[in-house]
Order: sequence, then structure tokens, then C-alpha cells
Amino acid sequence: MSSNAEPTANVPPEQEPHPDFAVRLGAAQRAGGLIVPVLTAILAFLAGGIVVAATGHNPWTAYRGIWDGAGFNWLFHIPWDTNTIHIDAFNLSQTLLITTTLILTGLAVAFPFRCGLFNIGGQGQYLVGLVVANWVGVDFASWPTLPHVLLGIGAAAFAGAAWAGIAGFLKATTGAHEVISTIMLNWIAIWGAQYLFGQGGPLQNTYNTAAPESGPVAQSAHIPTFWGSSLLQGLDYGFFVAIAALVVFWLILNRTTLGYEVRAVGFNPEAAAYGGINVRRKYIQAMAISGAFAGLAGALDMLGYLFQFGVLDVQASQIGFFGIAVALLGRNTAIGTGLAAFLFGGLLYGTTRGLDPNVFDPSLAGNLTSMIQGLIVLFVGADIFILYIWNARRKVRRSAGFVPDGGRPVGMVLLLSFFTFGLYGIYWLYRSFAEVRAERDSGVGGVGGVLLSVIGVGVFLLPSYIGKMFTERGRRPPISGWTGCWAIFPYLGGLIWMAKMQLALNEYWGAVDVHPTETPHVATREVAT
Amino acid sequence: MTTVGSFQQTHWAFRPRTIAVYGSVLGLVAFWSAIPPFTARSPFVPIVIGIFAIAAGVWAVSRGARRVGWGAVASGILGIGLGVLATRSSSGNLDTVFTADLIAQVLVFATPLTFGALGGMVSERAGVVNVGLEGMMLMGAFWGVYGADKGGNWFVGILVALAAGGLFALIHAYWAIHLRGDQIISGMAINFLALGVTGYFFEQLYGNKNIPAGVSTIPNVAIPGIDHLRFVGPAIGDLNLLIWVGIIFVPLSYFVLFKTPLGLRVRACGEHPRAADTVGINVYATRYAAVIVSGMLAALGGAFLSIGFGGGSFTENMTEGRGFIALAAMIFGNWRPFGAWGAALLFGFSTALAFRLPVYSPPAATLFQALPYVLTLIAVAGVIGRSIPPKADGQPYAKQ
Repeated sequence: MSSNAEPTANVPPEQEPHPDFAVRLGAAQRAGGLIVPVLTAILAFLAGGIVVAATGHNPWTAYRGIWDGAGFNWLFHIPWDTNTIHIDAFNLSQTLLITTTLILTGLAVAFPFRCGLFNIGGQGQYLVGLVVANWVGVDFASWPTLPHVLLGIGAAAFAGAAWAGIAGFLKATTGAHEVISTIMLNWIAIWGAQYLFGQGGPLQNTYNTAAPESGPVAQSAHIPTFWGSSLLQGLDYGFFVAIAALVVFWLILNRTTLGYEVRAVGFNPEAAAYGGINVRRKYIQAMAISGAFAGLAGALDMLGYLFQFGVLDVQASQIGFFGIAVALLGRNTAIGTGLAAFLFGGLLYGTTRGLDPNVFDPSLAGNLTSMIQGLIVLFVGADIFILYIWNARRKVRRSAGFVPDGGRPVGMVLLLSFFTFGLYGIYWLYRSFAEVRAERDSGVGGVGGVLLSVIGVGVFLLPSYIGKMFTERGRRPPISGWTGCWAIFPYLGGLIWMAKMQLALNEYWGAVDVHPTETPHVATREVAT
Repeated sequence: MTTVGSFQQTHWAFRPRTIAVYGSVLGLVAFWSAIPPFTARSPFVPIVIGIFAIAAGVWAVSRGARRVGWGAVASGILGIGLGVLATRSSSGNLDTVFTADLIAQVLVFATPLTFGALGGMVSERAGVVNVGLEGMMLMGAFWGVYGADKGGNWFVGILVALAAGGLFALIHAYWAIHLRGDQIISGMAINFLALGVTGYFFEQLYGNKNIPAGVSTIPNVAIPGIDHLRFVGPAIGDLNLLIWVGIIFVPLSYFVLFKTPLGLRVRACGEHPRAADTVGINVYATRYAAVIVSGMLAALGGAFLSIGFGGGSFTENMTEGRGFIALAAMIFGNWRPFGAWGAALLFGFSTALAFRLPVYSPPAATLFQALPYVLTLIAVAGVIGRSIPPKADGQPYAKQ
């Protein structure tokens, strides 16, 4: 039976939720696509704006100031001036510096999540990486640059892996809940780092014993910068390491046996064990890989721009905790984590050092960041809520009968778009993406389709989706993603593209006997296969 | 039948569990004998007492009281170790570290943990994991001092703190119970949110100025008769009102949770909500009430920080992880009131000691602060008897 193949693909909200969060998250993930995280972030920013407005500030100028402070306005300075003497370019380089860290601490939460584990210990693992990188950076000063940096990064990643591995090991052997053990490991790391860097501690600097700070990392262990001056905290090559980590994360999860097993355990540990997967081992491995990401974050920070760390810095550091919000907002996917890290990187820098104090008080704005972070986590946490909204929406759409019989006349579509100066075209894009999504139960949906079309991706995505609809029905697809190339040619090419889309859609709706408005979706799929 | 008969004949004071508790106390005495006011200078005193503690523990373990028994053994070993260390230290140093104030200080540090741990226990006994204790405590700390400042009276401050903690607990409850979201995620969200909200409003309402001096604070209770006694006077003669409230809440919560029908209902919701529902208990209402009470208790702990022992002050992120130590204390105390209180006292003691240890070595004093977390990690790992949470802890419940 094909219906047994994906039992949890559609969890109706009225059913009892599955006790495993990972399973429910998986369902939510398939349900929401791109829209729900975007909505979540917008909702959180709106709520933050309401607080700002209620306390007598102008939320528009506040957010505008944060936007500028994060250096996002640099993206609209065309031609781009990459000289970081330009304040916007400098701000953006700083935002990317924080993004680097957040990508890795986000991955540290996202990876075990796919294994059904919630790693709250990112902060501790990050600090362990920071400490080890500092130790290597200070003590192996005679080494040449490349091996020195690699040694620091490797040792820190290994230490982070070992630190997180403790929680994985305890979970695997004694069943100790990873949330509790990672919280405890966090605080042990926080106090441990304060001991090591503090007065009389083994890693305290040697030249000023009154200052509870580490020694400075030797010049040979500094990661070179590629954007901005190394004296002014420029953006270092660690940024590319973080981007590479996103790719590695995706590869491990989707292209390796380990990733498959990790996801299987996250989906249902009992079934995975029944299928011959060593679940305990996966717990340890997932935690260790997660800790390696967080330890790497610590190393890149220490060798990239911090170079020195003190007891007060340990107490103030929150970046590992931000990884939770990053991973949750990014839905524990590689691309999502990258985008969410960029958002939070901008938010963190734009509300603190980047913010013009005359526009909005940075001490208020810094707390606004915590608030938005909390709200985002809160909204993501209510997966059932999101699922409910999503399913209710879909139900309304289905019952509305949204595809006209036999599709839409091609000539009418073209003429309407032409005479409304493209306004109908936007509506048409929205409807087409939404209908395709409802039919296939995957895809970016209406709003996402329109947004992606604005940046040009959508014109390739829609024909690709339509082509897949045909393939899934066992028919030869008349169009594919390449058909999107028509839209590259201005005006006439766009009209030809549109006509091709509508012709293919009409062929599909005409040929498919089971109309999506008349039969529930799940039934159509069973008939088809 | 004979085993059951003999079991029933044993007086409670001689059961293995009780003996093990005696052993644990003896372990403490072993250490205590070497410090003021007794200050035994010979290492044999703590060693002999400690051996008795270990013996009691081993005896109890061999008769089934594993958890408490191993605790007694650990206590005896620690007592010997610390006691011998103390006999080798200079008595001048000892006098500065171990004074009667230390007891008062232990109680001061233990009080926010006690409130937080009891709060967490109430919530988790009803089946809702509360990792948002830290945030609720922080809310209590800030809004408590705000209420005391604007209301002109510490009692108003406490009421405002209770409302603030209860409000955040309500959010957590709505998410955990109604939306059936992940309880750990919403708990963490509460922590982040509280950090932002208290920091934002502290900056907004007080700007760069601090809380004005002379805010009404929770008074101390001078107990007539003993406040002038030697040793006892400085130890417990003049303690803050909330410290006593915290101490009273321990047996009170034990009584309510374990000896009343109400407590049975709460625990039923945490162990087997479906069964509780079947016999007519309103699981949702019970869980809501438990979570809100939990938030209020945590907020009391926070208010103690700002307008109790803190003397009417607030700093951003004032709780500094105390909510998490409270969580640790609750787990270490095995989700039981006296256990949680004992753990809170132990953790309070380690914090108080850490503040005094710099006379020996500043780095060691810092490292000492990590002790509660290490102990809790050991406890959840099950090296000394396993900490076992309520069965349905953290699982959302859907009515059928």
C-alpha cells in the first residue's frame, strides 16, 4: 500500500500529536515550506515593534537604524564600494563576522535535532572550542601559520565534539536526558572557562596578572582577513569555513549512510532500531558532530578576530544560545540555517555596535534582540499551531474550488496580463504556484513563488514543478526547468514563457481525471500510484 | 509472608533508608568537627566519624536503600577528605571562612534556589517541563523591585513579581498545554524573552540611572530570645522574611503534593494523564494551575534577589543562571520537596563557600562554582542511584 509509505506526511491537527518532537517537526517542515519561518520572523519583529511603539519610540526609525547598523543598506549601494572605510561596508563585514559564528552554532543545534536530540549545550561547546583555540594559539607560537591555524581549528573542533559527546554518551548508556546534561555541561564550561582565564588560572596572560584575561593569540595563528583591515577586525577566511560547514552538513545528512541513519533515528528511534540501526551509537555520533560544529565556531572566533578572551567576556557571551533560535528558524536545514544566521547576525550587530545611538539607544536595542529571539523561538515551538493554521488555509483553498475546469484559456491569460501592465501576471503566478503546490503537496506555494520570481528563481521553478507533476503521473513532461530560459528574453520571451506554462497546465488539468477540487488530495495520490 | 512481617516490625527509625540518612548527616559532622566552632586539630576525628558514615551507607546499600546509601558513602568520603584538609589548614584561615555567618549565607544563597526548585517540581509533577524557571525568576526580580519602587511598599513589589512570573508561566502553559508545542523550546523561549523584556524595561524605565536608593525591601525577622545567643544568633537570629517563607514552603509543598487529594491529582497528571482524565480530573486545568504556581514560586525567588537580599537593586540578567541551578537542584533532589531543598542547601553551601575560598586560592574558588552542575550531571547519569522524572513529564496531552 502506498499510503503506508508516508504515514506522517499529513498529520491532521485533530489527531493526537506524536510524542516525539522530531516527528512533529518533520511534519511541520513539510507543511510550511518557506512561508512559515518568514511569517514567524515577521510576527516576532511586529511584536517587538509594538513594544518599541508602546514605550514611546518610533519602531520604523528603530528598525531602519538597525537595518543600517547591520550594513544591509550597503547591498543597495550600486556600484558596490568594497572599501571598508565606507561605514556601511564595514558594518556588513561585521555582520558577516557574527553570521560566521551563528551558522556554526546553529548547525550545532540543527544536526542533533535531525536525530531527535535537542542540544542546548551549544554555548558550552562553543566556549570549550574558544578555550582550546586560545591555548593552541598562545602556546604553539613557534609554528608556521597554516599548520598553526589548522591545529587550532582541529583541536577546538575535537574538544567541542568530546564535550558534546559526553551528553551523547550519557544519553546512549544511561538514558540521561540530553537537555538536562547539556544545560549542566554549559555551566560547567562557563565556570571552567572563567577559572582558566581568571586570576591565577592556567591560561591567564603572563604580563598583567591583575587582569583576568587570556594571553593574546600569536600572530602565526591569526586567520587572514579578506575583506577589510586585519587591524580593524576585518572579515576573515573563517567565513568560508562556515559556508563549507553548511555544505558538509547537507552532504552528511542527505548523501551519506550516517546521515540517513541519523534522520531515521530522528524520525522514529524504535523503527530505526528494528531496521538494524545502532541507535545509541547514532546519539553519540550526532552529538559529537554537533559539538564539532560549535567548537569550530569557537576556534574561528578566537583565531579570526577575538584573539583574547576574559572572564567578563565569558559571562557576557550568549552567541551559543542564539544558535537555538537560528536552527529553529532555519528549520534545521542547511539553507535555512544559513539565512537565519544572516538575519540574526545583522540583528546582533545592528542593535549593538553598528547602531547609531542618536537613532535608537543601543542598550534598548540589544534587549530588543533578545526579545525578538525569544518570540521567534516561542512561535517556532508551537508547531501544532503553525500546522493548524497551515492546514486550515489549505482546507479553505481546496473547498473554494480554485482551478477552473480545464485550466485557464491561454489567450485570456496573456491579454489580461498585457492590459493590466503585468498586475494580473503577478496574480497568475501566485495562483499557479499555489495550485501546483496543492496538487503535489510540496513546493514553495503562492507567496513564495511570487517572491522567488522577483529574484528570477521562480521562472525556472514553476516549469520544473509542472514537469514533475507530469512525471509523477507517469506522463512525459512537455516542459522542464529549462523552459524557464524563455523568460530571459525581455517582453516577448516572457509572454512565450507564460503561454508555455499555461498550455502545460491546461494539458495537465484536462488529462487528469481526478480534479483537485472534487477529491481529497491523499485519495488522488493513491489512485495515481 | 515472613519477610513482609519482619519488614513491618522494623521501626521506621531503623529502616535502611533512615540509617542511610543518619550516615549522610554523619558525613557532614565529620567535616563539621574540623571547622569552627569545634575546630578539631587532629585528622583522626573526621576520619573516625566519616568511617561510621561510610559504614552506615554500605549497610543501607546492602539492604536495598541504594540511592540514599551511596549518598551516605559519598558524604562520608567527602567529609573525611574535607575534614582532613581543614585540620591541615591554618586555624586563622578557618576562622575567616567558617563563621556563623556562613550558615546565614548558605540560607541566603539557597533561598532563590529553594523557590525555583519547588516551582519546577510543582510544574514537572503535573507533567510540564519547566526550563523557563530562569526567565520567570528574572521577571520576578525586575518587576518586584519596580513594584516596590512605584508602589512604595515591598508587599506591592511581591504582588507585582507574582503577577509577572505568573504571566510568563501562563504563556509557557498555553504553549505547552493548549498548543501542545515542545515544552523545552517554549521554556527556552521564556528565558530569552524574559532577558529581553526585563533588560528593555529596565533601560526604558530607569535609563542609565540605577534603582533609586531607599526602595522598600522585604524586612528581616529578628527572633526574640535567640537573636543575641552566641553562634545561633548570627546564624539564624536575623534572617530575611522570605528565607523563612521558603523554609516553610518545603514541608508545605510536601504535604500538599503527597498528603492531599489535590496533590494526588497533580501527580496523576504528571504520571498518567489519560488515567487521570478517565477518573474525572481536569488535566488541562490542573496543569495550567501547576505551571502558574511554578512561575509564581520562581518569581518569589527572583524577588528575593532584588528586594530581599539584594537590598532593592537590579542589574541586567540578575539571576545569572540561578534558575538553572534551581532546575539542577530539583533534579538532584529527585523531584521531591525535601530532596530539592537539601540539594538547594548543598548548592547554596557550595556558592557561599566559593565566595570565601579566595583566602586559599582564587582559581579554586571559581572552579568550585561548577560543583552543583557536576553533581547534577552525576545524578542524572545515575552513578549514585538514578534521578527519575515523573513518567509523563514533558509530554503534551490531547483529550479524546
